[in-house]
Amino acid sequence: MSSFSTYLRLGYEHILSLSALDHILFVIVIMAAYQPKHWLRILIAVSLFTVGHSLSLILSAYDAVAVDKKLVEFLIPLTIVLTAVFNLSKAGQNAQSNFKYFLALSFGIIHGFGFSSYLGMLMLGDGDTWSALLPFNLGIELGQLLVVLITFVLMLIILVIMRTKARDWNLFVSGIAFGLSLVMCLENWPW
Amino acid sequence: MPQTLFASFIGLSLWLLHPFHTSITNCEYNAQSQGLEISIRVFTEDLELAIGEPIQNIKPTASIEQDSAIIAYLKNHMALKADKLELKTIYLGRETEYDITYLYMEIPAFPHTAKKFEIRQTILFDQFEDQSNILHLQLGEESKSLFYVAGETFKTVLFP
Repeated sequence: MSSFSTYLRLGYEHILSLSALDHILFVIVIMAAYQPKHWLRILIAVSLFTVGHSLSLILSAYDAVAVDKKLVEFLIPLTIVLTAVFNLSKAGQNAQSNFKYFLALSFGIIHGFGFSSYLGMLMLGDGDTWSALLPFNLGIELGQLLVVLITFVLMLIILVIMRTKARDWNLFVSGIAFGLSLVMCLENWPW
Repeated sequence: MPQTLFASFIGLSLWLLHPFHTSITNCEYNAQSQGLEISIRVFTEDLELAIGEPIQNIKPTASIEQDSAIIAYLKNHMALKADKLELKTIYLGRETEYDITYLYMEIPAFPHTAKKFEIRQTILFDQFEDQSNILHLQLGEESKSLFYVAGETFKTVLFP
């Protein structure tokens, strides 16, 4: 294998492993209030999440911003808790609300700082900062795309074929995400 | 029943916390010294778990004697054969930078013209089931990369 495809595989397998569940959960919970017919809005929201975490990754790769690792590990599950709660509100249930975009982007920035745990391992020196990081992150995006696709297929089955109410599906997904991330929050309590 | 459910829920959430288990090994042939220079990058806390003792932050050359646990560990988990001949590695030392530790080794008089290399890189597989190890072997212009996941041992790489 070439080193590019090796790091691509590493990123892909990392995001699909359970240790990256916080990022996966966020992607799922940001999709929870949508239906298959809102596919364009899903695409925009997930893309904004990607823009957000790429932005903070670049900032930390160049040491432009230093963040407290403990605080970030608490804030990441908190973003899921907050998004899950927002999904229960009237605005959150409204698929036409643009506030979801704002959440995806700004919470994406917080998630990107969480990726700093692998920065030290993958930055090989000043000359080739991105030779491992770039394929690794492409791998992460591919894995994330797969999560979006699987969730979308589930939505098709549950909402279109089984005709479950969109509200029930949203409650179910947001509830699971809320519970799991609340425990992660408490476990990562920084004070 | 509800307690069991709740406990497994908490357990699941706890288990999800650690981010990233990987190591990166670079092996590069140095034509001048005719040796293969090996550097292994691991997370310091993972290495400490594997050898069962804390790593002190000492300059590499000063600490080789103290590194017997690391040397023994590497012996069990890293090996390199060139055309079926097992090569002897020499431990040179280590450096710690933030949360990453670099381990340095060398294979003197490396048979760089060999065609077939069999390499074992199984560090931390006993500690983490999601551990993956990446190894790059560079001989002159040619470079090959290997990807190890838990359960794998020797991998073969062919050079033209």
